[in-house]
Amino acid sequence: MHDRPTALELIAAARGHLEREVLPALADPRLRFRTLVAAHVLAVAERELARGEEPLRAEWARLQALLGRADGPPATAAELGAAVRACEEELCRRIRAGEADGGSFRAAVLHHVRESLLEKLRVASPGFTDARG
Amino acid sequence: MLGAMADVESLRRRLESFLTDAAGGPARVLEAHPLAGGASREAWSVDVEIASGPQAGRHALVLRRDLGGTIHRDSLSREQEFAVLRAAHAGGVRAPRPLWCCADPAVLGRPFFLMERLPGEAVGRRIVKDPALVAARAELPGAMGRELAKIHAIAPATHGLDFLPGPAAASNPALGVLAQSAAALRERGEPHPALELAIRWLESHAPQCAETVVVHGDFRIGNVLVSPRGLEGILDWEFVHRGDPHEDLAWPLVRAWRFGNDGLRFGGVAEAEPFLEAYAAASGRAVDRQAVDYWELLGNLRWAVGCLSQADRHLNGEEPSVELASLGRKAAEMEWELLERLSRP
Repeated sequence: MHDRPTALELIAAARGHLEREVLPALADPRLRFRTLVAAHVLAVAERELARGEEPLRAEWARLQALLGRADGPPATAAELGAAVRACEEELCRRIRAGEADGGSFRAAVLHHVRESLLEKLRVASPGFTDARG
Repeated sequence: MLGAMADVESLRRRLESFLTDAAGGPARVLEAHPLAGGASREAWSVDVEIASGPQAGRHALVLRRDLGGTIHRDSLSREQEFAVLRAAHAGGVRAPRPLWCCADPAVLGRPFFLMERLPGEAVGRRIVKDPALVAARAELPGAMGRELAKIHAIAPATHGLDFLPGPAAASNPALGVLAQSAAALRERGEPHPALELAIRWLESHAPQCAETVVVHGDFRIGNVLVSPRGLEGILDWEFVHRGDPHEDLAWPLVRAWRFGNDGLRFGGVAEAEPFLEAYAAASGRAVDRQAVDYWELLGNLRWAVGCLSQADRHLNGEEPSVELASLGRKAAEMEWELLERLSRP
């Protein structure tokens, strides 16, 4: 067990430093832009860590149902990541083979991909999926 | 910062000696500073005074130089970009006047060219939001439509532009562009079901292309200069190629180039129709709205794969950059846009 600050809190501290102390001191527009981007990617990492392992577990379960598989649940985080990746690769193969061109499998695939993208965007671009004008 | 200052000093001296030869009169660099932007290209703002000769006087210039190391498969060399800019200028396109080009890497380390510096704002976010540009924004769809018609009217053979890449005879330009993106995606190995769904749909819905033209290749808000007077110039000519005119008509509609103002399909500043109508009127070419929709989808796919490839340049150590790294997580936005379109009945 590590002491506090947690990894999330450490990243937040670094981001706060960039935003409060570094940015106001920068005049070079190129350096300012890259520093803004640096603060942005730290915020992405913070949101991802705050979401924890649950979204990946949910994605694994969705993929099992979608692909008609009954694998044993992965024990470790590394196994979970590898299992989701393997399922996603199988899904891509099936899309390329035309299996998702229509019918109920297409509807199920669209639903699954939508759920996965909502999770990706929750972390990468909060608000993007409801922004309209 | 000392390194940067030494860089400016060295650039200044070398440029003065180049210009003294090229312009036929003693040249002095009064001011030089790097401009923001350009992940693959470097741009400098340079003020020059030439003492005598046919080009005597003060010149406000932009210097475009290759960055070391990175070679892009799809982009033109500086010499080729210079030739394209010349042809555009000769065709009356609002674009910076190209002045001097140097392919010899001995002069400034890498090939470069110099062009006239036009006034105006290039940053997309500001063009979409700046209150001082309200009137200019109203003019943009018409102005950009008319400029695009002039670009598409450039005859490659007349201007020595036979080097421009393009689709093989009798092949479909959309399918060619699609195949490139699909290959780049699959080369990476990372699974992207949303992009696979898009590729599958695009493969079976490609529009016929009636004629190929000189396509700008990156025609959008963010690559144009806008001042309170209106459209000042079209920039970034490195991706020019031969292709379907609908490619350029759809690219400025892609959501990523609306800079947060998503409700307005033409670059976050207007609906698409005024732009498409202005282009049709000026070019005399019929605009196929379905082909525009198709190319907009294809544009989303290309930019999604483009973002992933840019992130790879950081990840494989080719060009360590937090900006490139951030693009890896940006691809999901284009994936969402594609899925929304594909989910419509």
